[in-house]
Order: sequence, then structure tokens, then C-alpha cells
Amino acid sequence: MRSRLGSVVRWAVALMAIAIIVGGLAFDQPDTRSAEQRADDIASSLRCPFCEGVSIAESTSQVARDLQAIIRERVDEGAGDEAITGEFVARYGEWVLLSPPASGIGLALWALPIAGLVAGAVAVAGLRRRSDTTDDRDLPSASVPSRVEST
Amino acid sequence: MKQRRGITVMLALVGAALVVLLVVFVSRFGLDPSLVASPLIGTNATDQPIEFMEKEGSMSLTDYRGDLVVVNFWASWCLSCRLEHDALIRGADVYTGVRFVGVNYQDTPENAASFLDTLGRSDAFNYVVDSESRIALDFGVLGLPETFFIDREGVIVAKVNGPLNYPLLAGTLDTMLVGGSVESVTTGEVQQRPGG
Amino acid sequence: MTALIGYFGILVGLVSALVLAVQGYRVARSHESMLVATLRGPVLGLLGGAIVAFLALEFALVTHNFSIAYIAGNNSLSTPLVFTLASGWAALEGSIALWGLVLAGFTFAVWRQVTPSDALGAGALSVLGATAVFFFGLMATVADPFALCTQVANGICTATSAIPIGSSVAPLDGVGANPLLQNHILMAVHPPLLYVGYVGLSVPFAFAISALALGQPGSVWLDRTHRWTVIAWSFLTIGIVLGGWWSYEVLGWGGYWAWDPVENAAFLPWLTATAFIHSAIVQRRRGMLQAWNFVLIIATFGLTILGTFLTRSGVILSVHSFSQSSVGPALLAFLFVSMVGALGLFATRIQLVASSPRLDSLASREGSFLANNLLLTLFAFTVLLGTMYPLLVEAFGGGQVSVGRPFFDRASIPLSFALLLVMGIGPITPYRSANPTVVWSRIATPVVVALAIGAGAVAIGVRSWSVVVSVVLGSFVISVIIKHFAGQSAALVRNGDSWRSAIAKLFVREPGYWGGQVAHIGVAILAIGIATSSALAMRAEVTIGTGETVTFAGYELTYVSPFLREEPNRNVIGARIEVTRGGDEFAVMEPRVHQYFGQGQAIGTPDVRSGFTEDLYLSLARSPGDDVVIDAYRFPLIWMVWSGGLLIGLGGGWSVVGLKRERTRSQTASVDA
Repeated sequence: MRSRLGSVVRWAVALMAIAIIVGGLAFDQPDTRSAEQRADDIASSLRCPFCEGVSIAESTSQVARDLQAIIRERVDEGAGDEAITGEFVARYGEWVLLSPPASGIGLALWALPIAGLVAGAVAVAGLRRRSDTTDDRDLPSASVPSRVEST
Repeated sequence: MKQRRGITVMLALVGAALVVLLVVFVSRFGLDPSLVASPLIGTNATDQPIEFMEKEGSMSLTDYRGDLVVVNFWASWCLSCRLEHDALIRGADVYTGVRFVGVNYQDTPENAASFLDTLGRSDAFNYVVDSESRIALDFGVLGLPETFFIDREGVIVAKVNGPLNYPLLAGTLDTMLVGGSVESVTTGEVQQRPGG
Repeated sequence: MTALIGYFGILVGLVSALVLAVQGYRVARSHESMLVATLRGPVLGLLGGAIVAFLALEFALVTHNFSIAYIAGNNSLSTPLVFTLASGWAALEGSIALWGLVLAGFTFAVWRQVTPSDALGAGALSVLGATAVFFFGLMATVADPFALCTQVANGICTATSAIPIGSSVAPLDGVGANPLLQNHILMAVHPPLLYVGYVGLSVPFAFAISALALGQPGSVWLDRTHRWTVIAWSFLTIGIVLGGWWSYEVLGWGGYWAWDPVENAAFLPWLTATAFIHSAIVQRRRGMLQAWNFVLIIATFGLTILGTFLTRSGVILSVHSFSQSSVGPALLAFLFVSMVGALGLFATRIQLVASSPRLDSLASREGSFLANNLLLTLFAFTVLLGTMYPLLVEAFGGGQVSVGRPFFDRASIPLSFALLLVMGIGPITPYRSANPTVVWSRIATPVVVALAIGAGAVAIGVRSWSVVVSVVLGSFVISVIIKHFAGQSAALVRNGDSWRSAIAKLFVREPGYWGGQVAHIGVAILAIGIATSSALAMRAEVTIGTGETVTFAGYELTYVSPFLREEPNRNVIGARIEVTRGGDEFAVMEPRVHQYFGQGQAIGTPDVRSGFTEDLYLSLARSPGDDVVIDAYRFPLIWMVWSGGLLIGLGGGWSVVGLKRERTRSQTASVDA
């Protein structure tokens, strides 16, 4: 009896938790990003031209501060995210984007890991024992210690 | 045996990848990893106002429409800027029809002034300062020194990464004066901060 | 004189390594047990030479012997003692010398376990000897730490002679250590830990190559090197974590991981070594993945060399790189030769490698190990691709592109979540074929607990889905482990043990398993820490006039005054900030700039106050005067990043003790499968 009650409680808690999580994340997000957040997001996606491989948001150099201020100004003027990054791309080329777009020259960067996932999954699936073969010859030797899980 | 074939294919792929890596790395030795080609060649130079460094007021590159313009970015902490300084002064004195703009960048007024006091000024040079990085952004500056050449229509036609020398400066201007096409070059490393 | 002794040590090491490589090979091939004794000389010569060389370097540093170019370039009279000692590995030549010392130490330790009829061990010593030939060769030529300064201009050595014979000149004082490195004590310990990790991984590699060469590609090489691998991996883990911590405490931008090429270079072998540790368990228990384990360990070794190359060749721009040098081509050649050799050997021996027994079911412990390996390998592949992509694109004429944090973050988040999920379910899943009811009974309660904790996070206002998912998955992993542990100890208690002895028994009896689970808990804590501290961070640039107060994230910051402090090796310029929290006194913080003597660049140094719920992090934006401009950050739960990371290493360490005990036990007890 106790266990059945326990399982009911468990399900109830789980469902409530899921409801809270989904409700909170899906329906209670702050409506818009603040201007500051937007500027910061844009700065994070752009490589600092005067620094060593970090974004404008992360660099502590004066140049990065100046550029952050310019981005913030553009945001306040009402420019869209793409217009602002576009301004940087026009001056520095795609080099300034820390995450190349998944098209053109950047395509392989995004496609190869996905191809790797597919190839790996196929390889793992290929290791499954086919029903017609039985090969037990390589079963583990007795030199293996017992483990907790042996059920 | 299928498995064996898979492993052989994988080994071949890894081998090929290794060779590619080797070629890529060997091709990189001795190159400065910080230099980036400028997409601004062939576009109009900025029309933003630029503040004068040692006097009140500001100028705009559009004021010089009709003339060739040389825009040089420099700072007192930039070592290569010392190397190219004489070439710039001489160029400004010789090519009187060409406008020279020296943009002081990421510097202090005192250091910049004492740099010029020590190494010399040219009256033909317009010394300006870019205190908020707006002009540097418009020119896509990646390090110092960098020099841009602008034609009579206000279009950026060439860029020099690293220190200028007089033959390069004179050669570029001579070609531009007769209407020929000029190329961007890299003469050396650019510097991004004091000391480094 | 010191230079001469040190260089002599290098030469002794080099010659011994050569002899070891050749003689080890002969012993391995000959099957004559007598011959093993002949390895004693070269092994001791290698170790002795390495110790002499490194001690000579440290002695020269402590005595400020500026006639040696390395000392003049990396030390000064005003450098504090601890950083003087640490200068022994702070720059290129010294770091290679430390590498040689660690390699010699590992070689010695391996040698002590080699028995008279041990062809596999002799072969491994030969491989280690060959590796040592390369590193000692570097020291004797292009990375000579004892090169003499033969010409001085403006207090800097401008010419050197590699062989320390003949006249030398010494500048009056040295340049001093790199200011970034002498700015924090962690920099003294982080590189040696990393090197022990890197170099330690060449031990399983050496055994793998020896096993292949001798045509014995069974599991013996794995059994003999599993401890080495886990030890090296634990050190590598702690080394990486401390590196991140250093970066957080010193660099002043508030981060600890920038996906910089050099950081990636340390992370890559960690990923493949982690995969290797897990797949080795599968081979040792079920005989599967024999070929794959060779591939993994060869790749791991290759990635350690690649990492060393990237750090030291100047082909990639990075905050961590040493200056460009001629060591780059040598390392590249070594990488290429060792990889072609190892993979070629593997290809010729592939017929000897037993084909894997088939997997009974993907829903099994083996299945989860395979998923783990797939994910970790894919992770490594993605990071490698991202790191190399700019080079590849440019080499093939595609122009210049950058790959940075946005790409790596986006790629690593789903991979990490998948890994956490597998990590939660895998360790409680039985081998062969798992009954879903059994698995479900083990994870049902943890699932509910994890969801409830996630809901709690949402309830207190967290709206970042990445944080919520990390919290749910992280607490899932932890509660599965705790539940399993509690169940096991309860079983012992029912048999009459006290709780305390039951817990101790589990850890002592099955340290391999429970050490691993401790590491898993560390990973879960780390994941929660990473997500929380980044997604819920707050940052603001604040300007405060003297005597004024500004509010930031619930703290009141009052600018008291600027200050200037002269210390023996540096000037410290900073701002004194009184911090209160809700009116209560909290701290007096001093974000500052360090100007080291003889160094052009001033180093901004943040001041960090760490707490249980969050860190307050202040960093100067410019020199303080009548007012001060500060970058203020708040990082919630960032201690979880460091403690989680360290727990991973400690768990690994405990499981090593376990493996040792397991082995002694398995020799006496007959065991079920």
C-alpha cells in the first residue's frame, strides 16, 4: 500500500514540476531584452579587432570599450542586430564574426560535426549483435572484479 | 571483415587529415597570424568629422574631395610608427598636392605631442585624434601602423599594413597621380597595444 | 659553470634516451630475459641527466646567473623567490626542460615495474626513450635553456651561443618574468600539473605501440597502463581547472574559459583520454573495442603533441602562446612522424586485433559506454575542427574567418547535456542487456528529485533554459549516484554493518567504481556551475567619484581613494572601494594595476570576493583619479566550477587507489562476471 501511495505522490510531484518548468520557461519569459543585454549579445558575437581572439564583450582593452559604446549607441538609435553586425562585417569582413554563418565558407564547420554524429551512430549501431550470429568466444575472462551492478 | 574495412577507411581518412594539417601548418610558419585583409578597398572613405589633435575644431575627409589623401593611423607607443615617421614627413613635404592625415589613436595627448616634438612635424600634415575609435572602426583598423590611400573621388584604393617606407609611399602616390591602379601591401607586423 | 653542468645533464639524458630506445627495442625483440638488466643504465642516465639539467636551471635562476640568456630573459633581481623558481617553466626552453624531467620520471617509474621476461615493458621503455630523444634533442639544440648570452644591448641579450662554452656577457639585471605569469601563485603550479598530465599519457601510448609492435594486441597493455592513464588524466583535469581559475583571478575580464586555441589544445587530449578511460573498461570487462582503444590512445598522444605545437609555434594567435620560435617546425615534424609511425604500425597489425564481440543490446552498460565514447569523440572532433577551421579556410584560399565562443558554446551545450544524461543512466545500467524495469526502478526517484529541483530553480525566478536544464540533469546525475550508494550501504547495514563502516567498505571495496562516481558528481557540479555562473552573471561598468556610492547588484560601492604602493618587484596602483551589502559592512576591495619593473605592460588585477552564493568581482577599467571607472561583475555559484573540477580529479585519484587494490584482490579471489 505504501509503495502505491508513494508512486502516486511521485507522479504528482513530477507532473507539477514539469508544469512549473515548462510554464516558467515558455510563458513567463521577460518580454524583451533590455538595450544593454542586446548590446552585450551583439558585442559577444563580434571579434575584438585590436585584441587576441576574444570578443568585444570579453576584452578589457580601451578599443573594445569604445566599440561597446558604439554598439550601445546604435542599439539606442534603434538599429537592428543584423544592421549592427553588418556594419562591422562591412569593415572587417566575415573575420569579425566569432561564429561563421552556416552557409558558404562556414557551412562545413556546422555540417561536419553533424555528419560525424550520424557516422558515429551508424558505427555504434553496427556493433549490435545480429540475431543470426552467436559469438561468445570473446566473453570476458575471469580476471575481472565484481561490480556493484551485477543484478 | 566489414569492421576491418571500416577501420582501414578510417585510417586512410586520418592519414589524409594529417597530411592536410601538415601542409596547412607549414604554410603558416613565419606569417603574422593577426593580419586580416580589408574589405574596404574600393569603398568610400568615411565622412565623419575628425577632431584636430592640437587645435580646436574638426575636419572631414570629404573636405578633400578632388585631392589624393593619405590617412595614417599611429600612436606614440607604436614602435613601427617611429620607423615610418621620416618617410611620412618627407612625403608630406614633397607631395604638396596630396593631403596627409595622421590619426592619433589609443594614445594620450601628452605622449602624442612629445612623440611629434621628438621626431618632427610637417606643416603639410593634418594631425587629428580618434578618441572614441569611430574613425578606426570606419577604416577597419586592426593594429598600428596602418595607412590608407584615398583617390580623388573619396574611394579607398589601397592599404599598407605595417610601417611605410619612402619608396613605397612615393611609388604608390606616383601611380595614383597618373591614374594607375595600386595594390595593398603588408610591410611588417602591426602592433595592438603598448609593449607587445 | 652552471650552464656547462646543465648542458652536460642534457647531453647525458640525450645519449641515455638514445641507448634506451635502441636497447629497449632489442630486449623486446630478443626474448632474452637477461638483457632487461641492461636497461638499468640508460634509464638511470636519463633520469639523472634530467634532474641535473633541471636543478642546474633552478640554481642558475636562484643565483640570478644572467650570463645565461634564459635567466636574463625571464628573471630579474627583484623577482620574488617563488616566481624565480617558477620561471624554470614559465618560458619556452624551461618548459621543455620540465617536460623532459617529467618524462624521465615516468620512464623511471615504468622501468621499476618491468620484470626480467617482460618484452611488453621493454618495448614501452623503448618508445618512451624515443620520445625522450626528441625532447632532449630539442633542449640540446633549438630550445637550449643554457644558451649563453654573448652580446648585450640595452640590457637585453641580443645574441647567444647554444653550447655553453666560451666567453659570455651578462646584463646587470634581467628582464624579469612575464608579468602575467608572476601575477598569481596558481601560475606556478598550473603548468607542472598540466605537464604531468600530458606526459603521463605517453605511458599508455608507449605500451600500446609496444603491444602492436610485438603483435600482442590483447588487453594486457590496458591492464598495465590503466592506472597510469587515470593518474595522468587526473592531473590533466586539475591542471586545466587551475588554469581556468588563474585566468579568472588574473585576466580581469571575469571569465575562466575563452575557447582560446591553447585552452582547446589542453581540452582536446582530456576529451579523448576521458573517452579512453571509459572504453578501456569496456575492453577489460567485455573484450569489445580493442581496435578503438588503440585509435583513442594514439589520437590522445597526437593531441598532446599538437597542443604543445600550437602553444609554442606562433601559428595561431592566442593569449597564452609563447613567442614564435624554431621549436615549431621540430614539434610539427615529431607530431607527423609519430602519428604516421603509430597509425602505420596499427594498420599493419590490424589483422591481429581481435574483432569485437557484438553488442547484445544498446540498452546496456556497454551501450552507454559506447554512447559516452561517441559523444566525447564527437566533442573532440568539433573542438578540433573549430580550432583549425580558420587555418584550413585560409590555407585553401577561402579568406579569413574566426571561430570563437559563440560557435563552441552552441556546439558544446547539446553535447554536454547528452553526456550528462548518459552519465546519469549508464553507471546503474547492467551489462549485457538491461531490463528496463530494473533501470527505471533505479532512476525513477532521482528523476522526480531532479525535476523538483529544476522547478525550484524556476520558482525562484530563473528563466534561462540552459541553467534549468543543467540543474535538472546535474541533480539527476547526483541523485542517481546518491540513491545507488544509499541502497548499497543499506544492504550492508542489513547484514549487520554500522552505517559508517558500510560507507567506508563501499569506498574501499569498490574504489574503482565509486571513485568514478565521485568524478561524475564533480562533472555534474561543474556543469551546474558553468551554466549558472555564466547565464546569471551580471556585469556593469560603473563610474564613482571620490566619496560617492554606487549600487551594483545589491552591493553599495563607495570609492574611498586611489592608492599607490611600492613593492620590491612592482608598483601597485589601485582604488580602495568600500563595499557594503544592504547597509552591512561587506569588504574593502582593491582592484588595481601592477606595473612590474623592467616590463612595459601594466597588468590589471581584479579583486574578487568569493562567497557561497556568488562572487563579487571588481576590475579597474582605467587608472583611478578623482573618480574611478570599474568593471563590476557578479557571478553566482562560480565556486561550483572550481570545486566540481577539482572533485573530478580527486575522484579519478581515488579510483586509482582502487585499481591497485582491485588488482591485488583479483589475483587471490575468483570472481563472477
